[in-house]
Amino acid sequence: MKAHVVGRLLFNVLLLGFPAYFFCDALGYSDRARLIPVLISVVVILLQLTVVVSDYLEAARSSGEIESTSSETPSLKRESLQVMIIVAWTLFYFVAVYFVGFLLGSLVFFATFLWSCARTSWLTALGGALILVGFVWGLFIKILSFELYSGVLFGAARPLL
Amino acid sequence: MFDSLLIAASQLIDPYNFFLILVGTLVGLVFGFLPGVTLLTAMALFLPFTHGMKPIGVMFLFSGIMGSAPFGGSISAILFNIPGEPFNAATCFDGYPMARQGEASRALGISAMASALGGLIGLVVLILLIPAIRPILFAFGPPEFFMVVLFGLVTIAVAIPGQMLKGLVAAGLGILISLIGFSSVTGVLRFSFGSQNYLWDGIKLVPFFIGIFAINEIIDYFVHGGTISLSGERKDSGLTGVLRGVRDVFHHWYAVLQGSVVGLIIGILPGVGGTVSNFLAYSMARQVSKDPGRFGKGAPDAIAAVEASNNSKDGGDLLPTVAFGIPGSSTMALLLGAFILHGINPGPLLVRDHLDIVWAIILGRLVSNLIASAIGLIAADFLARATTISVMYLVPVILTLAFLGAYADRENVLDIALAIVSGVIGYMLSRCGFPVVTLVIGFVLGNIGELAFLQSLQMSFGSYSIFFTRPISLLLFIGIVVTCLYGFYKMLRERARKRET
Repeated sequence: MKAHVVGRLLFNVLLLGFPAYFFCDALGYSDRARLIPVLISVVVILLQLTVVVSDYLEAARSSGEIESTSSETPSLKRESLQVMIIVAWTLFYFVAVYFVGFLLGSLVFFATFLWSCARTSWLTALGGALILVGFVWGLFIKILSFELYSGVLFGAARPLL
Repeated sequence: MFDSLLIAASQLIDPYNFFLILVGTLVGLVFGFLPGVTLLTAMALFLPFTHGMKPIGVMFLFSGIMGSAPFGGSISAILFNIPGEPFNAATCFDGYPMARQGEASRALGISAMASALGGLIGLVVLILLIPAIRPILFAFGPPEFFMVVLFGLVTIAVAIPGQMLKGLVAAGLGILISLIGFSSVTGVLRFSFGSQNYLWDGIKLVPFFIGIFAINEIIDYFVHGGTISLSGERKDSGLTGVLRGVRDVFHHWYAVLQGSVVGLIIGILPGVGGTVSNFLAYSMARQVSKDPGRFGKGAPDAIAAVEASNNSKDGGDLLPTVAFGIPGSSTMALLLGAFILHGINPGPLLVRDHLDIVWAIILGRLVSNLIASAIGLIAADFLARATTISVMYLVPVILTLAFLGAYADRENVLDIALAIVSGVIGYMLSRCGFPVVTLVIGFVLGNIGELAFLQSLQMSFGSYSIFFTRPISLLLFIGIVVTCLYGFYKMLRERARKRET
């Protein structure tokens, strides 16, 4: 069976866990509070089961007809790698904002991203980052009087979960 | 009535008042364009500065902001798939795919023209309906509204070609996500995933939308590279694309009319909000379209319907606000605050004693709508150039805007984390064939649908018959059943055709 089909099936099965959590959690609430969640989660579970079964049957049918091609796996691998890289960049930006605040975090992220992904020179990357941060500072702090997050390292309160 | 209209019109041509509308329009465009910084923020920021102003001038200023923000929000939705305002989310569904096909200026042209027409229709109907608003308000109770919500969800899921099951699953997931947090009806904190603080208010609309639309798209940009316009160039340069968009609006006049009617009705209902009207207008347009398969791929009628509804809903919204002093939305609540601040008592007497103020709002909105659309039409070609810049330069800019938008909504850094999680989940869902459209619609309609459902049961002392004994509710229910049956019939027919081939 093709890698992307297996991945899709796995995702579909995992997705069942989400309405299942809602169903189990809802059972502990009062009648009125659980009415809609139970109703919707049951419908979603049933529909998702149908999706899983029909996807599986379709995959089984197609795997009999078409053999796995070697060209598909590298492109899927490449896509997965690219997704992981951009998610890592996004998380890096979030962590930078969390620790050193919006302005410094944006400066660091913007400059390093332009330098490493857009392949600009360090000077251009830094210049671009300074322009962006200047715009954010001018608009959000000076004009709109927003309090941008200053980062836990600079005394900002840790947000409560 | 006409004396007051003349007073307001004479005030409108006063250079100072016209300047106020112009300032309001520009502010509305900028605040509408920036994600997370809403129209409400703009009005709240400007309210303290209106102290020394005449009430009529204040109304012109606020009308300017209100009239242009919806179009401003559609610009970022079309160009970058980031809804500038929450009620611009449905514009992303077809506006952005059109931009990807190199037709951003056409999409902006449609948006500008449909905005102007929608706003115009909304205001004309507002003028006509002021005396007849009472029966309309009372005809739509919680049972009818619950059925409208259900109808919207079902139609959109059924209309997605070949993805009805996944569409319904995504809609269900959206509803479940919307139920997270403290329930205002039952007073219970539900599905908090162990959180005792952050999820108390539930999943917030702005970071969720930013994640689902912007971060989801950023992942896609990074994976595929190139430019937003897939061909790397614009199909129509100069004014050609914009004029095509304008022609599209007149070609799909029924979509504009339909979107405007939906916007008006939803606008009149207090507490429902523009986001709902936006999605309902989209699902209705898809339902009546001769070729619903084009929807989600850059259908001009979808953009026209959604933008018309965005702008006409304010006409509807104004109706209960000026006629009864009942604000239909938070924006209108702020407008009422401005009334009170300037010594005007909102309520039924407003129409009798200060009709010139009502006219000032109507005329101000009309002029602002027209100015914003004119600016949009002129600037569309220039703005569309952003779609030919390499995404590697755009990714950090859009990500910064997305982070700022997610944070600025309520200044909570965890909202950025929520946007990231929503974006990654949205990407995985769309990669596995689940339409994000229905997820978002389910999310928007879920919570208010539950509220309407429980309120209906309260009204009927727990009897479900309330949904079937009121004529409008029953009619809507029949519509839902017919739509479902048609959807299943369509699905079976497609399968049979597939098997044959």
